[in-house]
Amino acid sequence: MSELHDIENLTIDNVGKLKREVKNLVGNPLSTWAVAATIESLGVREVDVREDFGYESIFELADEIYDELKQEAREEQESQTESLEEKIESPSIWEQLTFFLRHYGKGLLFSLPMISQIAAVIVFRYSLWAWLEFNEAQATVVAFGTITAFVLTGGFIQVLGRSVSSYKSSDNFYLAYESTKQILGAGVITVGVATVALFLINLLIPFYPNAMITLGLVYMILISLLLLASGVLYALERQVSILVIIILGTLIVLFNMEVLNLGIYLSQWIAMAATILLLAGYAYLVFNLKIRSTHQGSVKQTLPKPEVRYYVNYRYFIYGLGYFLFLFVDRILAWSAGPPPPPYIIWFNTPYELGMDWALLTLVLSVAVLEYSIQAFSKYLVPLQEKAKFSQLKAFNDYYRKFYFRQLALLIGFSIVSILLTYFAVDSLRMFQNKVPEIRDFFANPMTTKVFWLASISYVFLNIGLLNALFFFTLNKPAFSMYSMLAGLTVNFFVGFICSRVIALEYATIGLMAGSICFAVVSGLFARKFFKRLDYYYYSAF
Amino acid sequence: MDKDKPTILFETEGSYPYSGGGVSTWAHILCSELEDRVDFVLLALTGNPFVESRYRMTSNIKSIIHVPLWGVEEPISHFDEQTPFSEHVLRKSETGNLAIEKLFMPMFRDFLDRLFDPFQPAHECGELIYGFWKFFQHHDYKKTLSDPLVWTEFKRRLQQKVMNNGSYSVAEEPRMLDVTFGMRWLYHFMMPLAVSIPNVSASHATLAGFPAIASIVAKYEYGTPMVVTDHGVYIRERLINVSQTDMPFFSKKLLVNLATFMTRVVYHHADLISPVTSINAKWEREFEAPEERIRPIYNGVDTELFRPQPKPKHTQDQPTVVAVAHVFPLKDIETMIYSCDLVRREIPNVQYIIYGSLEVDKPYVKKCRKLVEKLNLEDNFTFGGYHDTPSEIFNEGDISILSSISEGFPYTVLESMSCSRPVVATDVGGVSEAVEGCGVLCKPRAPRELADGVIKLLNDDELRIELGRQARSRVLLKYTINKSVDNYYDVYQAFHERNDEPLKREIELPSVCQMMERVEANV
Repeated sequence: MSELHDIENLTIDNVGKLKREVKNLVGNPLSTWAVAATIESLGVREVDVREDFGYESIFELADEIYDELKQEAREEQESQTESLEEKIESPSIWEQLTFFLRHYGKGLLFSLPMISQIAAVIVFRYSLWAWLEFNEAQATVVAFGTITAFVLTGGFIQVLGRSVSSYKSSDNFYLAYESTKQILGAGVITVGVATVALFLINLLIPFYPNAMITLGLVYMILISLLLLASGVLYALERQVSILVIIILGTLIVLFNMEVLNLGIYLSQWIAMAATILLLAGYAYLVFNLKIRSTHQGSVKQTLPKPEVRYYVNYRYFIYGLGYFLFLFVDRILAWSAGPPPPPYIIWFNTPYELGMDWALLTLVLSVAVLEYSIQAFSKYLVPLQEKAKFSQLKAFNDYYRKFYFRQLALLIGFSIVSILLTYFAVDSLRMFQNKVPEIRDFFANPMTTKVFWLASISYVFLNIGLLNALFFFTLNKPAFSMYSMLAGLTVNFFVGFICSRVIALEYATIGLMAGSICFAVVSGLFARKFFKRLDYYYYSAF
Repeated sequence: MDKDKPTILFETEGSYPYSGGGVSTWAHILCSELEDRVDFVLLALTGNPFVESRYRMTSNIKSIIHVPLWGVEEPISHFDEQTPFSEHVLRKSETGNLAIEKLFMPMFRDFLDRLFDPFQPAHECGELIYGFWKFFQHHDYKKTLSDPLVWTEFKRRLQQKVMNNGSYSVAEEPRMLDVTFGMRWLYHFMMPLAVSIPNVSASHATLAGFPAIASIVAKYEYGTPMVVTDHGVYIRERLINVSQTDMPFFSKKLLVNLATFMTRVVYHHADLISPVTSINAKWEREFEAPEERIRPIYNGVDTELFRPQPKPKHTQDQPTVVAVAHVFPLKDIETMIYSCDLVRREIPNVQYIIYGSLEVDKPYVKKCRKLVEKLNLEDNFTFGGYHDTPSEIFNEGDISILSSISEGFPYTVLESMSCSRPVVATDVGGVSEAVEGCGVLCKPRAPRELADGVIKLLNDDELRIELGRQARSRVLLKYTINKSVDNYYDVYQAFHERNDEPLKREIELPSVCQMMERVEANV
């Protein structure tokens, strides 16, 4: 019988019960109207308010309940406030260390493909596009192909990275894939057009013999496609797969040379073609599996209009193009200078290149810090804003300013350690120079060591600029990165041009240093503005 | 466009033509039935850009302005397909610091005053909406709202209006993230301010919310009359939904203030406010809707499709009560289940069948199924799930039942009445307006009353049949699709023949006047 009574009537018929139900639903009420609407949503009507509760209207009843609930909420909050007073707190040392090791390790992965190529050259004497026994003409050809490939594809790879990561962040692999196809298509067409143009220009004005330019263009095409294909996998954060495929490609060179005796060109070309297909095929697989698993193919989606895409991405493109020009302009200036004058307009200079490659090794340990810094920046951005009250805005900005300086210090520290380690590690090989002719040749020209020091110190400033640029990219401010890079490139070129012509060819690296300092300073000024008002830059990152 | 035919700017949000649901169905019927008499330009706000129309567009839908509020990096070029993107880029270059500081910021300050206190004079809010729109016809929306001046002012006003004058307790103080997202919400929700509005006969907003920005703009720019249909009451639904979220207090308050601002300004400027039931008028009046401009236009049903038929074999010999409702809490299926238990004690072979989606709130469905088990009602209460031929549902039963806690003007009640199946229903929303004397009305959450109504009608064949006949007559008289559509057509035609002065000549707010002078001088 009592059960029968219970289910006959579920209405709320007293103010106390109603107040509790409203409180359960809304907690701290927003307004009288919010309470009135909630009362109605509980099935209490105007007629019920009059008949059962004795009020003139729902709004009158809501007024009273609102006042009471507000009072209760404030009392509860006052007693809670003291125990829940929030401060901006840093994570524990152990947490920070684990985080650092994980992301620094991931950053090291970026350099492993390059290290695998260096190791291949040392062990087997060749890699995917290098050979210890290339003469200077051949080295020029390959260098031409390499430099033009990086410069031509740099912008596209930067845009690819930005576009894919942007769509990936909203789990939209369908549009990431569509976007990749568009960008790669544009990249391939550009490489094609550049190939034809360079060939024709060389026909009209024979900078190089046809055989040389043809070989150079073949390397350019293959390296470009390889860079584009690996760029897709970098954007998909599949660094391990890139490393594995590059190693496989290198083994194919080994096979072609040692087993099939195809000679260096065919061996490397076939291996590069295979590597490109493997990289592209794997990227295709990853995309399609992701699209299928998230059922995104079933919803019709399109990319924005081309002109909108160009507008949104052009700064990234210019930055990417500028970055690779920046990295190679000193070589172009040095290899086109004397004395003595080069046999052709640009001619490979062995001691210079050895010095630059030596300096490049210093980047392995230092560039990995960038990966950690960016992850640390992104990781705590939202949680700290959740912790910080509006009145603690200044403290939030101050925290990140200090964070920035900590990252700078970490980067500079690692860069210095890396330079010293790399110098002494390589320099210690001198003890074998009597037994190993290649080591003797390496140290034969003092230019190599000079170039190493100038370039490796330049790379410290380059790293600082890169760190700043990455922060800007994270909050969608590519203009800061672009202008900094263009400033650095301009200084790099002009100073390098003057120094390489007035002093000596290896002093093109002074241009690199001046340009790197300029890049670091200009981006640093932007970074100062950026971290002073990080709250604004986070808000406007849409 | 044909000048003899009215052309209506028809504004929707999260509904027609890209989503299903009651409002979309109503909109499609309206547009289709008026195919030969009225042209439409649709302005559809959606949450994302990748949507497809769920309806076959009739020939009188001349164009669709699709405004995705999220998910597009350059939103204006997405929906403004007439203007080449190069012009948008030019507009961006013309949106410099000076223009923002001198022309936009004074209006923005006035807007923020009204955002933090949304009960200020509604006509001023309308002037601001128009002022913003006018500004964005010459300057870039995204560039303006992402300017540091805008962010700084938002923070400053928040500090001044909210923090310093004690409106918020310490615990209600926003977090930094709430402030960031608050300002970003303004960017997204106010995007219709950047839409270029055509000169039409009238505008018709399907809710008193953000899509109606276009109506207000049209009124100021061209003198276009506006009508608003309230299916539910937008502000009431926002108050309920937002209040019950887990969001921080500041965020909820901001959203509700924004909705309040919009609703008041829409009601104030509307020439006609048409709720689907007169019950909603109370809320409309609270939010600035003038009484004399409120005139309900009821929904209608297809009385040819929903017509009385004999019961099918599987329910012929059983007293059957049919319900059509998605299974979620507002439909209060638990009360329905309890009523079934009470009815069973008098009519042991009674059969309740509820047709409706079981996907909307799965935990609630589970709870209801458990209740059925607990009361041993497995043989008397059936969850029929989604039924793809609604016109057959009501004829399966002797009567129908509705136990909702809250309703607008439910189609299901009209459909049941059209099939001569009297309704036992909770007296919420516009149900009593629809049923009036042709069914049984009950208090919400009162299983006993529902059960008594069901028992009465199932036991008294004469009464049931007579009420069923009266119900059908009532629907034929007042609630047919043709009636509903004709009512709207009359409104459209009357507005089409009007020649109102644009309200822009009456603007008084100094910030808006100053902006208009400068913009017109430059043009």
